[in-house]
Amino acid sequence: MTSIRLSLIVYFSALLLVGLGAVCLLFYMQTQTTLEQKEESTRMLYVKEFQNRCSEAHSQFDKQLVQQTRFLASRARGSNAFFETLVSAGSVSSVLLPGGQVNVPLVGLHPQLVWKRYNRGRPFDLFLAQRNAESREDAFEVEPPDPAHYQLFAADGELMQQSSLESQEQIKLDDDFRRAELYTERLDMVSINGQKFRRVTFKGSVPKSRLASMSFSSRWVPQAGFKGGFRPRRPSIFDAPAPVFYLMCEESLAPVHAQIARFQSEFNTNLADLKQATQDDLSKLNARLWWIALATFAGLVVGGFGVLCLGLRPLNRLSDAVSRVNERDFELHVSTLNLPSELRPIADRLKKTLEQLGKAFEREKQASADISHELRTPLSALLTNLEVALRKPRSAEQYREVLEECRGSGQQMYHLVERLLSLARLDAGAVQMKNQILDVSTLARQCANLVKPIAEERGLSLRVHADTAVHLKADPDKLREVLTNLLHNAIEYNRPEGSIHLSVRRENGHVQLEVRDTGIGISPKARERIFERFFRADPSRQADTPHAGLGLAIVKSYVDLMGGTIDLTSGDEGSTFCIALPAGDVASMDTAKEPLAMAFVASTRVLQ
Amino acid sequence: MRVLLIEDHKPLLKALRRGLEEEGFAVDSAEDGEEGDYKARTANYDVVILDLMLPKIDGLTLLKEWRKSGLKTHVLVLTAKDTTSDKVHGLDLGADDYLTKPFQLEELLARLRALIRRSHQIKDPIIRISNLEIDTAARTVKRGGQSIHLTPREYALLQFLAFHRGKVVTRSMIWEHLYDEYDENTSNVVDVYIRYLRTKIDKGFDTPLILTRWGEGYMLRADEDNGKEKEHG
Repeated sequence: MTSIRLSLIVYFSALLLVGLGAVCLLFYMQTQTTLEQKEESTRMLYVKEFQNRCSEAHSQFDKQLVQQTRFLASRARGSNAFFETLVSAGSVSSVLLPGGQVNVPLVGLHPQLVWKRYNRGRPFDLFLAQRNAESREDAFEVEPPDPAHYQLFAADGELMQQSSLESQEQIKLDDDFRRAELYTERLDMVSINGQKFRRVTFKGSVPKSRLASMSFSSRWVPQAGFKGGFRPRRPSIFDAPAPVFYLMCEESLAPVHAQIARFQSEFNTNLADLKQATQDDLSKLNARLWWIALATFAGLVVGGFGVLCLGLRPLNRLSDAVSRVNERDFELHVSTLNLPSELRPIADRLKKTLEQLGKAFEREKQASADISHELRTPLSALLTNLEVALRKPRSAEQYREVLEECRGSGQQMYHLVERLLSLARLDAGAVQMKNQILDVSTLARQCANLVKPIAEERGLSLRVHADTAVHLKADPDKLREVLTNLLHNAIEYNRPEGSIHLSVRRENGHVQLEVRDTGIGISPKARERIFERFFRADPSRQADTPHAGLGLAIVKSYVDLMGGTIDLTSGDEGSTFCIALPAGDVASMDTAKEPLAMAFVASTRVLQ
Repeated sequence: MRVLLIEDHKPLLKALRRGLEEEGFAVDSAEDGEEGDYKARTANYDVVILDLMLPKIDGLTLLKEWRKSGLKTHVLVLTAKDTTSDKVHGLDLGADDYLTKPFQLEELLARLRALIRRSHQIKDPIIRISNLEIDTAARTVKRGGQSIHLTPREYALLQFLAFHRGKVVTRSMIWEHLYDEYDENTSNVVDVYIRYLRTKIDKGFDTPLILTRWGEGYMLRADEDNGKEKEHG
């Protein structure tokens, strides 16, 4: 990713997506759980309601059936089905009932109801109305309502009356019920031809009060072994238990089931609605969450972009400032105080680097200007000389003079070029030291002899103080150049009739070479820069010197290469350049233990 | 025409001096700022040729000082500094012209001539007086269509008179402008050169152009004076 802004926005977006996704998912899941719980509770409610309705329907049904049964039973109690109608003509008659002899005092002529008595071998155990064809339909006097079908039994299980039940199974009385209490009802569920029916069995009795209007007389019946006396009272009809009957009503459960099925379908519909509502809510929530997430994402991305831009503004400022830097202006135009702490070290470092770069650039510029200047002056002298010479014919002597001048200029340029090349080679690291063991004293004397004529020309005295045989492993050519340069310098900046001292001595494992002049000295400020290229203590140049401010720079470079140091002390009475070169193990070669100072007067003073 | 040459590079100074002298210039020279300053202030030069990097006092400082003290001499800066800012700086400080080293001698001479013409407010390089024509650019002289050969000294004298035509120039003026510091001042040197010039210019023509004002000096006749004064030296 090339742009910080872009990469940050991408990372931010990714993070945002993950965050938003997680939040939305959590929210969705939470809401889903809540909705499901709500749905569950609602469903439970529906279930309960459904159950309630079902049981309600059942109980309603049962209640109705029981009511009907009771109603039927009450009708049965009041019906004459259990009685026989007898018509008496106001005479006392006795009726012979199948069970025995009973004297029935009949009063009046109106018909009377008489309980039929079933004789089961027990006297007066039960009276039941005999079913007869005429009274069958009249058992309930009116057609009984609703129950699908019913059966009325006498106590002995005789079917007294039933609804039309051609296809129906006969309802059987079971013995359990016979033993049941009077007026009890029992509810059963029966299945007939695969159809469910509700059955109510009612045990009832015919009330004795129905007999109130009847009068019975019982005929005495002599018992075997009876000897006269008070005849025990015969049991009355009232003493007999009331005749018991059983009524069984059945009602099909189909309507209830239909109702329940309706409830079921309603319940199902409700449940489906509920489910649908939950699903709708969830999908609505889902869509809403998507929109919210999308809007939030878009908003945050845009906002984030803005924030990023805002955050990256200092970087932009720095980059603008950097892009404004050019070869004319090396200053970084940005205040580090206004920059955030992260950028401050960068800006500071940049400023420092640019400052150094600016200085280096300035030095380079100055150097090239100096080089061009140094080359141009002798070149223009050369050209002017040639042009002047060629303007008209001249004598041989004059030509010779011009040629000499030209040679001088050429040599000056040659020296300058040589020095520049030396420096270039030094810069490139292409200078190879051809070290060999040499006697520095001899070398120093040779150098002194070399510059002696120039010193003489200027009226300067040159003295050499050298220990005998100071051996050193060094490159003789380079050392010679170093010494000649220093000597030339000493000559150049000396005062008239001054002197130059060159001394060589061994000291603490070092070989010390010292060049002392009696010149004007070098100011402390200039001393700091004296070894810089093209630097001159006196900015105005001596036009005829070949050094061009490069001599000391070369000297310093060479001494550095030799592993030595060069120091400068300067005062009003002159300057002293002192070179210390490490002698190494060759020092032991020197036979002379005592430094034998031999003053070697290299030159006599020559006055102009 | 007298020029002051301030240049610290001896070989160049020597060569330039020779070249200028051979062109008829009277050349004074100085090798450092101090000497140059002294000479520029004490003598009357037509042009000062000034190097900028000089020992003791540098050229720009000199120029600034001269202009501050009202010295009006034309200054041609001759330097190895060749950047535009150097040139602009030099010209802004009051230099009249700027030439960078290395230079063509011809160019330097042409610029010097232009500066001298400018100092005499002459635009046309050809000066015409009666039937005398002096081409200051080509340094040729014609009279009546005939070209006249003059030595550099003679030409310089004629040009000087022509620049001051119609006005009397004294012997010392001529001396000051045509001879350098090393020329020996003998009273009749000017007269001798005037005589040479008359022989070449006026001989054979009816109207003499070089007039002598007794006790004052010499004068080259201006056009309007033509024929009015007839005096013989």
